[in-house]
Amino acid sequence: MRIAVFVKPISINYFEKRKKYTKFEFFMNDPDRGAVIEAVKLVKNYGGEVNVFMIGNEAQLNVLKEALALGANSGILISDPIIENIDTLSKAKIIVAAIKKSKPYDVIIFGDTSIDTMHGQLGIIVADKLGLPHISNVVRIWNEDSKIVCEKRTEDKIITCEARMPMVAIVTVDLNPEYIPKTEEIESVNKPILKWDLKYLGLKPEELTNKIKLRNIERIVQNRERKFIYFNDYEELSEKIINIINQQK
Amino acid sequence: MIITCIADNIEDLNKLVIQSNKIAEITNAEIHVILFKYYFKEAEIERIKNEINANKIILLNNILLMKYDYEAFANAIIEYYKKYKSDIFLFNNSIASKELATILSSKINVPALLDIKELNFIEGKIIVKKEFAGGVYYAEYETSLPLILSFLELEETYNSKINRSKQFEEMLVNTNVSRVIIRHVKKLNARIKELRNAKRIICVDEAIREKTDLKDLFEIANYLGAEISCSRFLSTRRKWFDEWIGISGVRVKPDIYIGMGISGEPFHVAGILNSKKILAITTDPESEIIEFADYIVICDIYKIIPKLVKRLRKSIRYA
Repeated sequence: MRIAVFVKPISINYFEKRKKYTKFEFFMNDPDRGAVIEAVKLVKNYGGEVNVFMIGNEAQLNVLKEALALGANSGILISDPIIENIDTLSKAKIIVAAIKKSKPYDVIIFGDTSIDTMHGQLGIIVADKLGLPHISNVVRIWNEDSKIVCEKRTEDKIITCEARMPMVAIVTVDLNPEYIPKTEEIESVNKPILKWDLKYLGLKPEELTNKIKLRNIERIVQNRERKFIYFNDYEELSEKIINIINQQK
Repeated sequence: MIITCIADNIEDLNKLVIQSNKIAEITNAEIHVILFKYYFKEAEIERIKNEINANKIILLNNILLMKYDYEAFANAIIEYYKKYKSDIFLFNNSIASKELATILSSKINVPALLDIKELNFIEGKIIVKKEFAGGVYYAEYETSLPLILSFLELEETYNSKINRSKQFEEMLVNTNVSRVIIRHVKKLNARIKELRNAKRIICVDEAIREKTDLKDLFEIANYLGAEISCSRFLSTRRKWFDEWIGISGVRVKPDIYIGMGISGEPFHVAGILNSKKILAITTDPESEIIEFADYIVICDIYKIIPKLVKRLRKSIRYA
């Protein structure tokens, strides 16, 4: 089974808490990490190989190496100065070109959304552009003969569904327990990483658009009291907590 | 200019039309509503035809539109789009509708911005505000028409000054179904409406070690008239609840939200920011929820829970 997984580098600047755990400026989008782990598990069970693709630059290479440390066989960095400012439809165009440039894949796996922009569209658009069936919101995935079977989670249902390969699976962050390889494991990765640009993919810059331009990012400010409740013993604290609750009507 | 409303349920479709009327008064747009024959009940279609304040109600007719199927629905909408070049497609924000919106975006090559907070028309530009990085930031985007949108929250009421003509049109459309076959559907006991309407909510996270430890919390919730739910971790990994509170789960707006051992991941916090008051009870003084709380208690939750139970039992006895 040949599997392609797409990963996105996320800037650590908007996820302050993570600075405690990593020295890198970028980390792998969490649902994408789940996708890599799942792809590696599928290949362990059914044979084959996992290729990981990333649209990004050299400064974000640790993200691709992280995917390789998780067990993927090889990485492809798609890099070009123009790529920094393009919209989801254009990113999908690049990914479609990259898939078509490769040997055919049986399964293409995406994380369901990127935790920074939270657009959640890329995998579905790529599937549509490639003319492949897709299953989104996947919380479980397995192979049966020429089919991929998935459990898909909606607001109030779990739907078991199947699609013939080749297909696209769009997985949620719940698919796998969070496991992030150590910095040393990431840095010592010695697996092939190919570097492709737009020219290699046969795309011209004018074919890529940016119809959705990011103007500004601001932190949500909430006027909360932030009042610490101090106490001498737990009896007293229980009374204070119940009083606070009962004050709110 | 045309705004086209599409939803997978009648309640949301009504809200979309209310929202569209608000936009239409700034933009002078016509409002169209798309219905899928066989998917909606006849009575629902009649109600929409008579009650909704739209210029056109378009009924797309194909037997393949009986069940929700994103491929069939998207292809049918394309038939409509060939006739009426809509400028804004407005979808509700259910998982199914957002999937349909995304496929439509791909098929007609029109960008989609989903779960948006605000839409503004400023000096000929379209400015959209949307949550970013787990929902504790806002991103502002500049874009142009045509556009596919879904709002995070829809207006419930709006008194439009315009009485629209409600013209009805049935369109026979070609379509085809998805190649994904559904084997089995398991209905979950997700208490989405209950949580959305709750005045008091107790929310638990992985600081609660065992499912049996929830017994006391259910008793507290019962005494307080509160709903009880959890973080995504407890729902999807430990399966303790069929729903969770957060940006990807249920967004809540109680009078008071009581977080029991909540760490305060941005994706959870964004789902509780509409709470009037937030009470965070946590053992971790560095917990991220503290920044967003009105009242903060740093304590051992395993010591405070039995005390709360005892005190509430006593107060009920006296009452």
